[in-house]
Amino acid sequence: MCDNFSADSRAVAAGSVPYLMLFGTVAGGWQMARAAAVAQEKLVGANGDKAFYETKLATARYYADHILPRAHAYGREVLHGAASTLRLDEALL
Amino acid sequence: MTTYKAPVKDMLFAMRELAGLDEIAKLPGLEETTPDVVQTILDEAGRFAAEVLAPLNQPGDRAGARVADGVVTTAPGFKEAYRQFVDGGWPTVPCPPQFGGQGMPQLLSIALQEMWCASNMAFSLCPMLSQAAVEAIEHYGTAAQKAMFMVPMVSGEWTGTMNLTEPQAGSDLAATRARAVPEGDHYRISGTKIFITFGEHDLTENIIHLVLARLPDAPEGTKGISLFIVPKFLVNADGTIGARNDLQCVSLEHKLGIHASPTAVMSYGDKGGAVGYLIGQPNRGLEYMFLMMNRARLSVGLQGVAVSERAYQQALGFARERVQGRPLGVSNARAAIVHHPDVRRMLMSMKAQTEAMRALAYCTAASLDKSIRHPDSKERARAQAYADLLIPVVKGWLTEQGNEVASTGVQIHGGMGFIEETGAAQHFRDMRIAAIYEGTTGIQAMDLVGRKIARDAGAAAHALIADMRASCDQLK
Repeated sequence: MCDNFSADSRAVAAGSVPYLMLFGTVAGGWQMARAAAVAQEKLVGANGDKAFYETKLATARYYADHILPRAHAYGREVLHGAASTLRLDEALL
Repeated sequence: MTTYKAPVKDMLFAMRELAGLDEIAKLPGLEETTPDVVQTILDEAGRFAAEVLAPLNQPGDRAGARVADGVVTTAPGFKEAYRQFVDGGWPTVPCPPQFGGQGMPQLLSIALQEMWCASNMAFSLCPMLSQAAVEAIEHYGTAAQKAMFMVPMVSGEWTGTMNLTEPQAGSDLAATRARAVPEGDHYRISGTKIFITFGEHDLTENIIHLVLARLPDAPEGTKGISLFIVPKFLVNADGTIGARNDLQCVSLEHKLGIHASPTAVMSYGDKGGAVGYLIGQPNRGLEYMFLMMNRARLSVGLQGVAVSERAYQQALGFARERVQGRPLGVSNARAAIVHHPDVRRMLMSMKAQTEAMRALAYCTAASLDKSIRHPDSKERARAQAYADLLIPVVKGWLTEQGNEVASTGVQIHGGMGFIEETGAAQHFRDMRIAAIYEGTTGIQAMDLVGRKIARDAGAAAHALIADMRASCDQLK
């Protein structure tokens, strides 16, 4: 994307929102993974807060299974989507 | 009426375990942010949000703010709630101590903002914009300007606004036309500003407008815009309220949501020009505004977390009460819809997205604290680059997710969600503006790929990805 920014700026712009969504989805997944690691560690020494940390683990698992896979779709949009976004002449929209 | 319970335990988890509260509390000037203090403040704020702000959310949506002859009346209860908000010292939390603030970290401030917004988004916009105005005057104002405006604005006795948009200058501020003509030690401001949140109201005796305008000799485009302080009432040398300034609210907009937040059309200089005071250097107003915007964009991104949390609590409560159908594979008895697998999917999706958003927003707030206060200049620069990179993501992604989560909240309610009575629809309507104001998602995305990634050839992005890889290695 850095290489393309000046060479094909319209294509980069066309894919910029999918790129932002990709970034957010993965960064959110990163935070959920960190949360899961903390929860796993705390569960070992479980001190009455077991349900709280189990909830954190289950929520992170859900994110990984259901939200994070969107990253693949966003990634494809970013890499291959710009041409069709801009293909139609404005008059044909 | 819908209730709200501040998720203090989840907030503390994100603050301590993910955003590094303990590390933030060791930064110079933040030593008073002990775990006990943080817990106490969050508990108190949670009570205020639940008991004072949340009950006004739905009535405020119905009544809205009203205008007659330039006088705005806020929704019933808002004036009293704002008084309590000021009496409780809540506006002062993140502000500098020399002006009466408590000097608490951004990380704590962001958690409080989440509570104000979740309990009553329309109300929360007033202190949010005041805070941005306070920061602008603190950073770029003269000693005399600070002496005149800071203390009453920090305490919340007066509120502040941001006046950027004009009818022909929305996302494209280069088209700004408002004018400022020098006159002695001040300027005369004239022009029309639109979309001014809490631009006029009855909560306080004075309103301090920050207004973008052009000097007579200013160059065209973005490099010819200056920033001015334009108070509703002029302030006497002894700090008392003086003459009414030449500005007025012409009308309020009819909006999809945040009805209790008066969105004003402001007219400056109908009688010859409103008195304004230049902030900083001439022609650098947009640059100052952009520095302020980082915080404002983080705060708007946070609205995605806040409204999602509120929508989740509401949907979960409804799903546990609403009895419909017989859940597959469980029993033949009719049961609450929370037992249906697809309702589970929707609730889990709301919960997981809200938590991911909260973690990202709080981590970004923590890096702002480090960028301001870390003793090592390399660490400050690193934290600043990290925050700069993440802020368009927080603004864009969180508000888009917030729209999705609030929509899912309506869906869980079924037909009842489409009926205003339940309150689910209000969250959906209120949320919708957040992906638009303070720069649309498209603007955030261009900021991300252009200014934040291409400009440094991906250096900050690579550093973040390295952090992600390190976290993955720890998990193995």
